[in-house]
Amino acid sequence: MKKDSLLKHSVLVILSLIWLSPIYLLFVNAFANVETWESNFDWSLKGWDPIANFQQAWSVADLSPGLKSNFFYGILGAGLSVFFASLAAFSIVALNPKNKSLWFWVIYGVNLVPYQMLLLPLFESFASTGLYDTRWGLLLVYVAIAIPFAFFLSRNHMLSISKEVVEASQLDGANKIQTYFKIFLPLSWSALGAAFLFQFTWIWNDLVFGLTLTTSAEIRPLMSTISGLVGQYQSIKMPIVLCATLIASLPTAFLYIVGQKLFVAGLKAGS
Amino acid sequence: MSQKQRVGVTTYLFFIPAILCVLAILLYPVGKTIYLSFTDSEGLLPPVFIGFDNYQNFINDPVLRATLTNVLIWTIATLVLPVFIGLLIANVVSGVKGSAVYRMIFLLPYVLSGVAVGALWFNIFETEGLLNSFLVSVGLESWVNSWLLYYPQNTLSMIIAATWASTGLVVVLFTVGIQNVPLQTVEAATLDGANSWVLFWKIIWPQLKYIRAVVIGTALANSLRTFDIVWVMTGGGPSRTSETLAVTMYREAFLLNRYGYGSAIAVFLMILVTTISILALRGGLKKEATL
Repeated sequence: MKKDSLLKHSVLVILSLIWLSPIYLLFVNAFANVETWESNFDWSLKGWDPIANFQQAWSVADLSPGLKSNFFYGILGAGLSVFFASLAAFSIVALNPKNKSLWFWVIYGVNLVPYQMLLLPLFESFASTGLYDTRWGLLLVYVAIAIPFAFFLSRNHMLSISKEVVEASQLDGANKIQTYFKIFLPLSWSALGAAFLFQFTWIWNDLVFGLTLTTSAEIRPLMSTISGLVGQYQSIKMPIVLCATLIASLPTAFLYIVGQKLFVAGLKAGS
Repeated sequence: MSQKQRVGVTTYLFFIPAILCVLAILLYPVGKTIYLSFTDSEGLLPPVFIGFDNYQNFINDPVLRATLTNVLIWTIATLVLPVFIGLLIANVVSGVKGSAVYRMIFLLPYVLSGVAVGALWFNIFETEGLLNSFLVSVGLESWVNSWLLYYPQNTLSMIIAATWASTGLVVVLFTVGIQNVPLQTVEAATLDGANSWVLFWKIIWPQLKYIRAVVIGTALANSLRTFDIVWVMTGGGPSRTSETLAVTMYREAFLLNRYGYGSAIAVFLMILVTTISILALRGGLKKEATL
């Protein structure tokens, strides 16, 4: 047994080091002094100047509008999609509608469609309806795309809620809406939380819809703004670009560290 | 019986928000793209029906073979690397002291966006980048290479970046699957003298059937539609050598305004993704059939 765990630890330590070294490089280069920075490889820090880089990334890359938009898209988008998805999941699991599989596949099936199928018609109809380059327009797209997977997760979890609980509440005279809010919502908290985390991260990190459906700095989500920086080294140096990506990743990193237990618990119940 | 009588209109009202969003933002565009793929639409004039011409042109594209080869490399590599490494880590990490810390380490890159991962690894693989100067500093000048400038090493370099980014989620999913294996079974096998190897293949592997289908299905679908990392690291270049279908579609439709042609590529991609996903998910979806 002892020998076994020594072997396990060595495998894990080696793989961890491989996984951590790019993260280390990210930090070292993102915080390097911009004036003296060259892309020469160096394990040591080359003039540590994190605060100056953060300030520059913030102002040169103009991150503040994108960051604000991203919180709007991420919180509202993930929140609404999980709410809508859980309503549908509740109906399918607890209310016994006709054609269950049909409902399931209409909502979940589109999860298999690549986003490229959506881009052109969305671009065209957004242009003709005035939704192009608006916050609410892009939010609508995020909500819709996040629904299928959130539906899948919450339905899987709700299947584990026993029929007796539902029947008991109905005998007590609770109507459907009360059953949803008083029984299903509280009991599915962990799965819905995991779904929220997943979809928030997806929305936060989206590139392609931001590129396609927005153009102004005020509306554009963060990743679409940052992806534009990677090509232009003459004007913006690499440490600043890396620093910008680091700032952009802080919220999701924080969420995962805080929510890891929830995340695993939610998935576990749903599998 | 009493359940059946209670099914009323309100039951269906719960579907309305989800169905409306899905219809307007997902199903309508899918139909429209299929229609556009049979037209010569370029955005300005009303589209004219041209039958299968776009598909014909797509098949005759001289770069198509390279693009499809890239898609194939991406698919096989992302099927083998993150899934295999992720399964290995999930299995080794379970029950080890400090497993939460290890899991956190592998999940770290997952919270970075494709754009961040692309920017970081671009910096590493670039000809003037960190990898080459590292090779020089340890005396391996002969290994120095223009990683992102030639086919197929540009695609392979980007696959390394993608593997690094996506393995963490696979670890978490498999860990969940492993934790769902009943403890008594594991203990009984250990008492019978099974070592980790036997334990894994005889006890754990069969129980991972469902989660395996989910992991493989997601990995396949994601690799077939790879966009972010390629867009940031090479833009599909040089000379389209590292393009994937998703990048080709974006370039044709939005940089060259060839809507009809871009739609045809999207339709082809959709058929590819759905077919392969259904094949891969078949095992896991059996569970869904019993809704």
